[in-house]
Amino acid sequence: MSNLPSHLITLYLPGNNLEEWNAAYSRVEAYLNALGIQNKLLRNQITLIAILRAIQQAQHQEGVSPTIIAAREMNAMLNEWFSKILNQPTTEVDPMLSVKGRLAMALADIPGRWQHLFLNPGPWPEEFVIAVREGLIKAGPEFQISHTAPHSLDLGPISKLTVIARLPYAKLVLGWIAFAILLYVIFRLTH
Amino acid sequence: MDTTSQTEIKLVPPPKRPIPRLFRVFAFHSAAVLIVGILGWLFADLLWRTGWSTSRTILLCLFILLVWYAALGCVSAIAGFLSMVFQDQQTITRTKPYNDVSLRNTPTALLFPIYNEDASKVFARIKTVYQSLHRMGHLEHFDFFVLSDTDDPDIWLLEERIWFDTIKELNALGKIFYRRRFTNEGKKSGNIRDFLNLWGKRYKYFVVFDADSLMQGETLVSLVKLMEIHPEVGLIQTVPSIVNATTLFGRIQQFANRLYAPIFIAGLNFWAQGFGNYWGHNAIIRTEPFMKYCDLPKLPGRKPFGGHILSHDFVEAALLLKENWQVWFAYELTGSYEETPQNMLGNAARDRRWCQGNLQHSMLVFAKGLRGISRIHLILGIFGYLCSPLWLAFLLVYNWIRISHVRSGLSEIVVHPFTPYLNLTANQHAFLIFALCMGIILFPKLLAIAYLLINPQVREQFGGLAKAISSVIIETVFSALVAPINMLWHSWFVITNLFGMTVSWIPIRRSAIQVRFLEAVSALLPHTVIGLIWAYIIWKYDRVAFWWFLPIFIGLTISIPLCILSSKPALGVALRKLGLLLTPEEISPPEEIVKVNQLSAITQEWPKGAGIYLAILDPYLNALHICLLKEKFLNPIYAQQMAELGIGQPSIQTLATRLMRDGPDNLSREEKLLILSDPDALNRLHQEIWLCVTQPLHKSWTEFIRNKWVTL
Repeated sequence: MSNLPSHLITLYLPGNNLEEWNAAYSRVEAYLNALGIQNKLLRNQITLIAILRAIQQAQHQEGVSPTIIAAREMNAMLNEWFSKILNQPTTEVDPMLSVKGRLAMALADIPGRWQHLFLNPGPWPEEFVIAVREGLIKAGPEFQISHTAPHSLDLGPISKLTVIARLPYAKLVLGWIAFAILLYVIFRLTH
Repeated sequence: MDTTSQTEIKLVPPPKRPIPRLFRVFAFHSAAVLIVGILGWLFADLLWRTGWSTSRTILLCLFILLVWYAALGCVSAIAGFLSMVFQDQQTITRTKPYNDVSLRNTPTALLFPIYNEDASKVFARIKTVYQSLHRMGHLEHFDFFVLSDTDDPDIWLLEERIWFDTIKELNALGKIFYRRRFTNEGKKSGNIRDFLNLWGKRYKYFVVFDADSLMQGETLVSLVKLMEIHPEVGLIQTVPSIVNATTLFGRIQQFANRLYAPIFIAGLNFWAQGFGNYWGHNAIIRTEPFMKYCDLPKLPGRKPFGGHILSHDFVEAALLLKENWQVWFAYELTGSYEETPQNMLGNAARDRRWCQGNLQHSMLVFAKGLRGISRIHLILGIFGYLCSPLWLAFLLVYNWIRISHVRSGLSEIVVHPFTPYLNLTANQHAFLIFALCMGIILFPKLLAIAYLLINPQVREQFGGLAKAISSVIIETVFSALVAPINMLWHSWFVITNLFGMTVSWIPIRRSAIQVRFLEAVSALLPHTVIGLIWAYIIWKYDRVAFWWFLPIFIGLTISIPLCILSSKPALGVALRKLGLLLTPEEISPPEEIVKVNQLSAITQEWPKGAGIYLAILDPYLNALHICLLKEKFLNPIYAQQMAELGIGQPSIQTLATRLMRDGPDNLSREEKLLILSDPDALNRLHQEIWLCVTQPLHKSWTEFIRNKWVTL
């Protein structure tokens, strides 16, 4: 099959399950949609490439869902491109490569300004390279950490009250005193 | 930002001697004491005329306390009126010319502490302040910090998304920062303290905003210049004008704030001078002394009096004053705004929180080392809420005396007053006291009108004299009806607080949401019932007193319809069309207010629960969120907190697997927050759900993808 022209490969969909491959196509296309690739032609072209790569892989992965294979191929295509545009060595496995790549895409506004260069193998315009590689998200400037500690406040007579409040039965005794005062006040008011 | 921000900022030692203000303090408080003395004397004489008793002693004590509080307000207004008319030179904006002061070496942080607020509105304000400073050409001296304490997953993620959109739109990467804490330790003051511990040393000054507050660029620049020219000042508090009210209740509050507040604050400034106060926002603070002296201790004991200090602002000002730093009110600076709750229920909810915070200050009133004036600020704050139960007690004791007398069947024998030359009958005597009391309560309003009379320009800003007077009458009648409602509410808040019932920290609703009937009934039925029963008892036993008490009974009895009607935006708008309750910002809205309103109209919201789906599935939000979490590991404090939460541990990966298998709806909010705090788990979830690695996958994930991103 690998000798066949790519436009004919579709005739030999492994498993002959069109629905499964249709679902795979939808998943890849959905991810491109999520990435903000709105240009239909570009999106369809990339989706098709991912599906073609998946079809080739499917021969060696019997029993694996086409959706999984296609999504993996899409992921691999993205990671290959991210490592190139971010100038990251392909020899090292960086579990955060996809995260960095997606963030760079957002910061450089690839879905808006540079959509035509998405997954483009290069060379890229210098402005694009700068925008992608210099984008770094920061929640704050460099830390200048201080360790302040609250100064204790002498609360004066109130602190004695808080100490009393912690004594056993203090609340009970206070309650009785308050009740006695209330009775006294009522007595005085009524006599 | 200024390149100098990283250089060490020299702390200028404050003067050791307080600024002279003895005459002002003496004049102010003597006037208040004089009023209390005269009225107390007259009232004591009246009580004497009908026969002294213990209950009358209690009544007199309550009367003196209440009149003292009202007299302070009245004298403040008089002092403020005179200060404004004769342009008191002892104000922070007048003592030294500051317009030509350079902003070099003045790195300033603008802090926006938020907690589950409407993120669209918060960022609308930030954007407006940013653009206002940009227009002035002073943006380089300011950095913006959104300090989130949000613990609602949806709002947290929305904050991140809108922050990212904002920095992209304004090209403000490295100017507007976003930071969320893992814990809400110390609430707002803890949030600010966390900022100071991380970045405080980079900034000479910082300005605190509230979630609903706004300041013009010009005002911010003036504040920095004032701090520069007054190295002895630790804090300058602006007087925010209430804006954007639409309901009747909101517009009445807004009108009252705009017309009366400048006079009252000018009066406060008259005697407090450099010993002013801090209201928690719309103020500029000198970073180093604040960091050094204002780290608040936890109070001993249990809630509501022990624990973290809730109303931190008064205490922070007191601690600055204790160390000889000055605190000023800059009441002449305009361009400082805030919003207010737009209905009675929202206002009461805010009052309940403030009440708890202010009553907690009673623990600090006798703290050693505080200045006397700080004790007065704290006492006045406490009294703001305590006067409600005192007023209620006054009315009840009075009723008790009258009913006891009626029930005794004895005839009333009235003797001559002991005051010489007071040839009045008992009724005339009582009416004189009533008239004087009303006088001290209403006099500030008359002064506000008088100020409009002598200032044609200000008069026009309130829609002209006739409309301003009509508005004052509406405001006065409304306030008279609402006063007894608040009296019962505040009394309840004080009592429940004393019994240890605390309120939780919830964001204040300031939008114009009309109060529903059932909502009003559940909140105000007790007021109505108490009003009716009280009126019945007084009608039965003391007809004369009934007519005196009628405004109170009316206010309580109609509290439910009053609450509903006053929350209607239509009524507020109708009065605005009639030119009533107008404020300068309504007649001629500043550019910043217009801008905020335009931006706030574009609200960004997610359906409830969508946040976690987007944090996992949206490639950009997922990447952004993970990067923000990863950055936290650079801070040893956050790294420790993350370790304590179990971030990076297998237990969170197990939770993540459950999330994929069972869907977000089957996880608790705390479990979701844990997953959302773990960058590795989120990275894995994004990969595995899109790659369909985990099987079985809960159908909600595929449904979400299908609904949002699948092209049909």
